[in-house]
Amino acid sequence: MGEAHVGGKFKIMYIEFLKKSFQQQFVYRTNTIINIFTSLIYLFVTVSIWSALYGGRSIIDGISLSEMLTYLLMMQFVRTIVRLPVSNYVADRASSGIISIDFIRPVNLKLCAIFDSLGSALFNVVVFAVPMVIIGCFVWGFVFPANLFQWLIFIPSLFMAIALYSTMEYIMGLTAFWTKTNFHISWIVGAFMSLFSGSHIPLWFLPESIRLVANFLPFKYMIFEPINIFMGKVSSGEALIIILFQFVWLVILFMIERILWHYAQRVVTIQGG
Amino acid sequence: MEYLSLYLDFVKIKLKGMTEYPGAFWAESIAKMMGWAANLIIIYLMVFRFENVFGWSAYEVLMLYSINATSYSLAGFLMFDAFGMLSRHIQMGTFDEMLTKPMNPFLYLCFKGFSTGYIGNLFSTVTALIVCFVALNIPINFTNIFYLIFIIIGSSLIHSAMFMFVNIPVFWIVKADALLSLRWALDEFIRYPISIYDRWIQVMLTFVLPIAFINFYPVQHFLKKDDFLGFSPLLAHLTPVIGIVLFALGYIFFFLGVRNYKSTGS
Repeated sequence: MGEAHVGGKFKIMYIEFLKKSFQQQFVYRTNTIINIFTSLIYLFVTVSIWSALYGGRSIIDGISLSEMLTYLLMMQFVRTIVRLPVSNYVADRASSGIISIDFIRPVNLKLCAIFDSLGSALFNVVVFAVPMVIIGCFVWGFVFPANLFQWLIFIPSLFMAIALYSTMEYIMGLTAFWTKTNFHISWIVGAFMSLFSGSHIPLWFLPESIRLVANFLPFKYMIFEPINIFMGKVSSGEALIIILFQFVWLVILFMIERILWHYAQRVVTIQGG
Repeated sequence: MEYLSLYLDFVKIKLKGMTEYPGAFWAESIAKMMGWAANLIIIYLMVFRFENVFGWSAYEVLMLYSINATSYSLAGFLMFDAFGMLSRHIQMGTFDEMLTKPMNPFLYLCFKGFSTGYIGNLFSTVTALIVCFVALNIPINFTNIFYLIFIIIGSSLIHSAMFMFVNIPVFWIVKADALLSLRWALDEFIRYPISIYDRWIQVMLTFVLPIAFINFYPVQHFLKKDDFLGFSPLLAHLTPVIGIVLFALGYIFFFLGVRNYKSTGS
């Protein structure tokens, strides 16, 4: 696996994976409509809660209510594109035994998993996230980045967030070689994500002690920090340091992944035909 | 009585199955415990930072959430596998088999569906409930415990009815995934006191989809809050009644579905 065949032909192949899973989403039309409806409910509820929490106060911890609502809208967008369910793809294949085919196919399992998930994520961005940001702009207002630099540095930090999160998901998927399921690890990592990634509360509002812990974990670099950069809450120097940290975490996770993959190939047991 | 001993036999079989794979049981329990604990911590931290939400303190909101989560978990013990798997049973044709058993198919489904997957949830949520009682200086005496059990039975019945209402349509439409996600979205409304919403939403959550009775109204009996949105304070005691009515409606709905059921023939 992962041979150095990264010629042009192979790149096109991964794009095909992406296209296929994007197109697949069109099949479930009623599902899509109800999903749009439910995400609107979620957004409505979260906005109501945060407005109630502000309760008429204009600024808390240096963040105004309209900035907070911008954060919520951006989070919808970032979460949709970052949280690729890569581990489901890998774990399904590992527990059903289809993985045996992946061992002999001239493709990289990780890239297949990422591009497959990316297809449906892009569909969700087009169908949910972008319309929601547009609706939100009109209903609640949206605080756009003040300068070009914020945009310029937000985009690489978002890409790094995608790489970080999908590598973590891939590692979670690999554990299914031992546990036969990614269910438990997903719940556990999900618990850490919801506390430390800023997907429920932006880190601005967390107590000092929890923020300190968050600094030593990779989760905040997956959702919170890109939005933090976008909203101009960090200086340009700090923004570059954030990207550096994202890179360091990516290297660490990549090494863990390589080690797990090395052992996974030995423990693989194909159950039946 | 006969049904009770039968039910216990079903539970015994499930527990035996669980001890066959103790690793999986513990992994699931610990994973779910952590997931729910994270939710509880987030709610506490959020309200704590902002001092209160519409006059509800952090522990009061936490209590709201833990009553909801405890009754959800109890309902899950009985109903999650029973009705969550209904569409699978229908698609695979195993539902036909249930109709041939010499007992009420509704009971058979519930008995067979007993699930051990909710012990982790209950551990987290009951712990949170106790913490709330202590932090809010609510005396833990016989009357309060009795009343709490009374509420939780009522709200578990409401949650059970919700499990039924979102899953029973599979008799007509085979796949009800989207309804399931709607149910979760509804659940979001009662995480925080419903006084934060517009009037029409409050009316809807009270009279049309009465999920405010799961936690918002009954918890006020303990908190002495008097946040009844202009409705009668008597609503605080109605939870068990609403639970029984909704459960009965679910039961009728199930048999309407069975009457309509045509085997897939597999």
